[in-house]
Amino acid sequence: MSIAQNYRLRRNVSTLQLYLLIILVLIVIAFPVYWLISTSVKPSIESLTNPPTYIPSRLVFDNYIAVLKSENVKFLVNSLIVALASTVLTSVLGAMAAYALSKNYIAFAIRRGLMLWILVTRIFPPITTAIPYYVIIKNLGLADTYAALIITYVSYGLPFVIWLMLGFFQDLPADIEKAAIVDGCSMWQRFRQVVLPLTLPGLAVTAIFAFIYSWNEFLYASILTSFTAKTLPVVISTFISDQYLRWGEMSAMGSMMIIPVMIFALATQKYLVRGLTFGAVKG
Amino acid sequence: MAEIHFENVTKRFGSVVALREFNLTVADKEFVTLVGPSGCGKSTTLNILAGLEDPSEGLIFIDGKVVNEMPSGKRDIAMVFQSYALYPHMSVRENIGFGLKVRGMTKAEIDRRVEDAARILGIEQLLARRPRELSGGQRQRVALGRAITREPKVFLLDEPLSNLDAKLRTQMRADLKLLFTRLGGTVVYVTHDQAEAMTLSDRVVVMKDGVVQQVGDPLYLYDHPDNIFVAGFLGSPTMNFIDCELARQGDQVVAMTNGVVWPLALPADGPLLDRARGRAVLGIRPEDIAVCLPGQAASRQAISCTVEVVEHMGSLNIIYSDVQGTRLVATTESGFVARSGDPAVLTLNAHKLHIFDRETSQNITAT
Repeated sequence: MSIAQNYRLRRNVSTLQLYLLIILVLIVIAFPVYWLISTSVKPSIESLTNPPTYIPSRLVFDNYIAVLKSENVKFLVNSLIVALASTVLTSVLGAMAAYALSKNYIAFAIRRGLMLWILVTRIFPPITTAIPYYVIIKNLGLADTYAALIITYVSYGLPFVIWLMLGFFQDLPADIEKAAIVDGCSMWQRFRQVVLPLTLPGLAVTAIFAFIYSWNEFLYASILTSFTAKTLPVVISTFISDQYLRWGEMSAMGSMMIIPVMIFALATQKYLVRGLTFGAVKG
Repeated sequence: MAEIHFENVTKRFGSVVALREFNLTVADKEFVTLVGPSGCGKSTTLNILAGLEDPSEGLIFIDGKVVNEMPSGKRDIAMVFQSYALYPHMSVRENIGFGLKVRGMTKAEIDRRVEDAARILGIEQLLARRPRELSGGQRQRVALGRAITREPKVFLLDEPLSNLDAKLRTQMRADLKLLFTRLGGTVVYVTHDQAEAMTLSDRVVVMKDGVVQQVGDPLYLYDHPDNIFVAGFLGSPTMNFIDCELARQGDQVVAMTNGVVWPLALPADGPLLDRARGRAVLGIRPEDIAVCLPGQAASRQAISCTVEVVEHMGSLNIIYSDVQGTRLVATTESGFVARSGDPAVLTLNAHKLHIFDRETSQNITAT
């Protein structure tokens, strides 16, 4: 075997190993999703067999029909309204706060303090503040409203958005902003017309995380809502009761819950890749 | 009409003084260059003038008005940055017109001005492109276009050529000179490149550690540097400096170092010897040293040396020679033939010698 052939073989073998590893990792990650979807289309008896039924014997859509015909559509709309409103508010407010904190308008010591306190709000496990929080929301007359959830998700999402966007703003070349200042831009014009368009990839990333968080959040949604503003995670939990465990319907609803997040992620994918590597390469 | 005046401007960053009691008046339509090594305060000065930094002390005047409190956008200045600082998300047309748009100019007027600027700079065919699709030289032109389209009172240029390759830099230097002669604006130019400072400016301000070293016409500064720093900063190859002792020999002053006696052709009855207190630094530019082969030297004041290295630049040669342990750099015409290790003789042009005080670094030749 010549050296060139030997080299080519070795390269092919190592490529093969790499692919095998990737496939293995993918199986580990994707199996729960497969299990969820397959359970949702299995005949209900197959979701309880032992050994488990990995491949459904036939496709049944009864679970989807059961889930969609009820008032669950209203809860889907609730979820969408709450998640979209919190995402928009968190991104806009977070970006503005991060921009102010990334500049020298505020003394460094104060900025550092502010940023630390912003982070501190994320340190407590949500459950520790749940009870007092519920009392406050109830006294404000906001129990079981969209506002209650949106306020909660915005306040929980803000620290994350602020800290993430801070990095993006700090990575922005200072000269570009100086050029805008000399060009006569006010701070707001600078933010709107120069800074924001350039950090859009970063904002897309943070928006996805904010959306996923408010879309999936269960604890506060279950505490703060009872019927009117109930969201899907809370609805799913009602399939578990002391009398029954409706695996099929739960999985059907779970599968449907994945769809908006996937659409959102795919729509912002172009920015996502750029956003996560922003600042790594000059150019 | 746009006269700029700095009055005792000081800038501190914490305990670091970036600029110390800076005073300067730039006349209307004058091209002034601030030059110095990095950290000398030249960019800080420009940022203060642009309104991007506030001075810690002192006043800045444009057109006789104090502008300390005036926001940058209202000062009627345009700035070109070293990194060009083009807006990456805008086309060339939008980049050049952005300042006008912010000022609320009509679209027709913006288009007219952008196209004028593009024509002057020869970038009409690039207007639809994005900055990332341009070469360095083209980006440079767009950055200039953004400045000139505003028709400002004052142009500020912060090392605009330092990101270009050597050949393009020389070409753009000439283009810049032509452009600003034509536009006739007041220009404050910052560079660390002494060649740009020498070739472009009406006046040069040499700075070091936040302190102005000397201000004046570039050729005057070249011939009459106030101190060692200015003498060494201007000119390439740089001036030779020789630590020496001054002494009297007959009616003339001589410099002595390592047993070599350098005849200076300066009268010993002047104040020089007293001022130097015996110790001094002798400065001589490479082009003021004549190099010949032994036996060709006409002057009795010639000094023998050994040729160490000969650099052929094409139009001239740079000779590195050794005079008993002291290295002297000289330039000769390209016809001069010598090899490493050859003996040669040097003759210093007595009229172009500079004597500096070794302690204060001040030039004490003339007095």
